[in-house]
Amino acid sequence: MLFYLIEIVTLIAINVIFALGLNIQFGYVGVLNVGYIAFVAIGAYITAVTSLGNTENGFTQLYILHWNVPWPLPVLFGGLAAAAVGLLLATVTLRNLRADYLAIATLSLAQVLYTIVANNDSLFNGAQGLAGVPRPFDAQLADASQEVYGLVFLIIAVIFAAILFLATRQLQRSPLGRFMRAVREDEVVAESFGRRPLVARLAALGIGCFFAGIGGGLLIEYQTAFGSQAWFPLETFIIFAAVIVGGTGNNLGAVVGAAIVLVGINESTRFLPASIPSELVGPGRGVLIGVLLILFLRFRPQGLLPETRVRLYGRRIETPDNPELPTPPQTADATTS
Amino acid sequence: MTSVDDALLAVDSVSQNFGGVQAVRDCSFVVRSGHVTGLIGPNGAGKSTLMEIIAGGLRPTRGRVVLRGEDITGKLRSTVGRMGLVRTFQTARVFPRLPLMENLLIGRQVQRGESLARAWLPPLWRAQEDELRARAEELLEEVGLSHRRDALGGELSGGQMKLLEIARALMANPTLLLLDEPIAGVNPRLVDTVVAVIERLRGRGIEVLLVEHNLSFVGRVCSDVIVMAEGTVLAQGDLDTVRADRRVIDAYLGSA
Repeated sequence: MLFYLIEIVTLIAINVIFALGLNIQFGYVGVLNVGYIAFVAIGAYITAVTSLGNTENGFTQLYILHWNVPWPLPVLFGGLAAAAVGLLLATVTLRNLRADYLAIATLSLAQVLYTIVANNDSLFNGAQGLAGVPRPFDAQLADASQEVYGLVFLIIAVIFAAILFLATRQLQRSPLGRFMRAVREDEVVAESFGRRPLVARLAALGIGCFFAGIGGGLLIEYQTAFGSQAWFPLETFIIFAAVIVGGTGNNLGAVVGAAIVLVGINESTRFLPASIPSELVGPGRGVLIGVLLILFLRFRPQGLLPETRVRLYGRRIETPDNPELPTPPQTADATTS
Repeated sequence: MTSVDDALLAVDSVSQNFGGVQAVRDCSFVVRSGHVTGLIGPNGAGKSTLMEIIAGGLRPTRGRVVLRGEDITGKLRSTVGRMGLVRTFQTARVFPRLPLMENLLIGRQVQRGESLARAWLPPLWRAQEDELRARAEELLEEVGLSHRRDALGGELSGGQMKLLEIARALMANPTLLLLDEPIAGVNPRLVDTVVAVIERLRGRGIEVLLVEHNLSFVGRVCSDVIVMAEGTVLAQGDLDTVRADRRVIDAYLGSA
């Protein structure tokens, strides 16, 4: 039971990183990266091939690089590689990264990468994926029990999630975060005040993809294996569901959304009675997430935790529940003399 | 007449076609320093198109726009903005889901904390941030919105949004402020606030070009008036002079 709890919290921590990164793109600037899961995969694969070295670890598998750099460099490489691909895509798509164009470009990129990786064994061992990825502190903790190692990894994952959470919050409170929100709200006005909306979008895209890559790196280290079945392009929408249910633009919302949608729904199906046929469980989860998303978009589009009004030194005020922000009656015009 | 190159702003033989429609026809005028200039004219005269062209939103079919000797024709909005030409919009455009304070803070164009490297290190930008916040508080006070400082942009009335836009533009310390119908939808009591704000700008070296339909307002604040009709300039001078101009009377009352 304890081990199971450790496992759940570890998975939540990793998924929080995914949700935070997507929230920076979608929630802060309104960049629609529907190929987000591909950046998770890039992080995972790069982490693997920079830590696997030449040892076959008992598996017969093909992959590139064969590096064996000390931890945590592989995870950072994963994050940087994901960010680099994100920025490369952005420069190719140009067009000011308008939401609709970028959505098409990112979805295509995810599909193209997926097809290449799944069909080309020499990159990351094809559809079977990579296994035997070394875990952090493996050598030092070779004698540790499953629970103890689980706890160590849990601490690592939570530290990563906490650092990225604090970094995200700092970004949100900074003038750069404000610039991002301004671009989301009205890019023509932002332009009229000397800003280039592309800059805010590039920054959000780079930072968000970096988060995706870091999360992917931790995920592959935790599972020690990762294959193309883990990042079918449509998986991105489950992360979107987490961000929307938690509260678009709210960092704590991303944490809550990751816990509920990404981990909670998947894990809850473990406790279904055995009489339910197992082949219904997987699709059932998808249906459940879809229904949840529709209900939230219809009845609580701001999510469980709405975006807060950020103030640098002061308190936070919750935005009103009504997202349409009605104009108050004209009497409010009366100024104090 | 001041020449194109030493004027604060010069519009030189600008034409703009939209398909077969000629919205602006060979339009030329000069905005002179030391004046609040009003651009007036009946609906469809081409005023809004011209504002877009000046602010960098639109490249004219022909002609050029010169800001203090520098050709800004067809430059990006962001470039024109950084050159000190800042505008408001005909239909107020505030950031609806951002608090008034953030709406104003965006107005300042060069901010240390907007760089990707510095954003994470508050000590590098906190001093500027404090200064901007103090300035924003002053401006909220000046346009009479400080009692609503905790509201979101989208929660204001239409008239209050116009005032917020003016305050945001002033955050930029512009050299030339374009006001697009600054009192449209503004409650009569607040019009006095707008007049007072514009009058105070004279002493600060901020020049104003405004488009407005309300002639009594134009008479109160503008010392130079440009009249447009059917895409071209009919007359320029003080309000009484242009009012007496035969062509202006025809354009306004209809020559039919």
